[in-house]
Amino acid sequence: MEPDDTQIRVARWHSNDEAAREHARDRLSLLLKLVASGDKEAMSEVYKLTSGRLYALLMQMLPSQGDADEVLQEAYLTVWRRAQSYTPGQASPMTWLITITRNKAIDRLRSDKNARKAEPLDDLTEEPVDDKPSAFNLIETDQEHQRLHYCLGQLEDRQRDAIRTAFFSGVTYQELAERAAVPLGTMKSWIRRGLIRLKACLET
Amino acid sequence: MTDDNGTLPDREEASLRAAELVLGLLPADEAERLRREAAGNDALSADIAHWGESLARMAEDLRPVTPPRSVWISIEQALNASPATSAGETGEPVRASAISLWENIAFWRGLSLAGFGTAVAASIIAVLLFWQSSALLSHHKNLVAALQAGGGQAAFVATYDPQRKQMVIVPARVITETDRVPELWLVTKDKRVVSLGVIASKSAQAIVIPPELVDDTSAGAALVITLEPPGGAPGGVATGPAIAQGELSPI
Repeated sequence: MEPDDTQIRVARWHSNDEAAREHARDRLSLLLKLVASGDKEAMSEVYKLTSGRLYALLMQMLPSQGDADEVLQEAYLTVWRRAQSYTPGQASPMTWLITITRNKAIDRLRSDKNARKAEPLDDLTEEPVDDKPSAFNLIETDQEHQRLHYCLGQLEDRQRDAIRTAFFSGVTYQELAERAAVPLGTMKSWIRRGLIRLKACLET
Repeated sequence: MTDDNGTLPDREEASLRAAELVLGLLPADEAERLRREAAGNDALSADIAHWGESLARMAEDLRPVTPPRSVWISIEQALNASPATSAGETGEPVRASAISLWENIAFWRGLSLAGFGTAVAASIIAVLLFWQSSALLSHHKNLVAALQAGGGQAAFVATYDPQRKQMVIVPARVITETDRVPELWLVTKDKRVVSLGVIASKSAQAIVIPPELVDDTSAGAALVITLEPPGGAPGGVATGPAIAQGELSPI
């Protein structure tokens, strides 16, 4: 039996999608290589392609827009200085950028303890979700990303909420416990049990 | 795996600590201790990398927010304040020695450049299209080199497909040089300099690597372009200025 026209079109769409993702990721890897050699035009391109996502993350993590602006700048200057340490085989380029940005934000939070965003746990459980993927957004909307979503969905609500809040706030166990008004041991056990289940699910 | 009470196996515990470090849950002193431990512990640093890769994907759920224009302006000022080669300060030894081979040769002589922005974008796209189509047929890692001129900007982009033993080199800028032609050289890891022939200055060109050079065309080798008399360097020895160079590395 021949596949009908719809099936063929769906298959084509998927393979184009896959190619577009791979293309976007490779393009970013190559741009980082150019940045590593001091190419400012490539740096500008990396910024154009990725700053919206990194800025959105910083707006979640930091108490004020001023902090987000400053840390975004610090993060990209770190990218400029450290691009040579990026190894394509070890991490996706976007993950590498996100890790640098989160670490900068965490440094800022730790050095400025009084200026933290004091939000109750519940307010952070619903992140604004990007429902209109553009060509470049496809970069990480890949199978691993879908897998992570699926596996987070398998956790108990409080485990998932605690892990997401930890990721998007960058605060310590102690502060997470205070925000959720539970004992420190309880918060630790929510997160640790959630991580164990998450790991088991991601590995299957 | 014990989930509720009792002791976790060591591997499981190490993986959890890695995840806690990645999330930023640990107090500063504990995080620092764990980072130091990871430096000498491959399994732990692999756990950290692994969790980093998995958890970072959560950030992809956020709807992008355009930062204020002032942020890029500040970044650009900082980049311009630093010398163009600042990012290369920690350059790998191979690149450094490739440069030293040519350091006495004047850069930029008789060379003018135009239309950089669009040309470089077009060449990156061309190289990636080539890379993608060949990657589908190949299990081998392709190599790429961005060949830079003195100002730190790409002048040529080269990709090498080890399966097909073919290199594609694309000019990223227009070179308006009338009486000399660009010639491509391979600088092997043991510092031999071998000509790969004269290349086109205005269009992409595919070069088949001769069998005797296949082993040397590997990550860590460098590519250098010099300007030579029409027909190529007399006697296979470079005579003209090096106008661009870069190191091959896996993409």
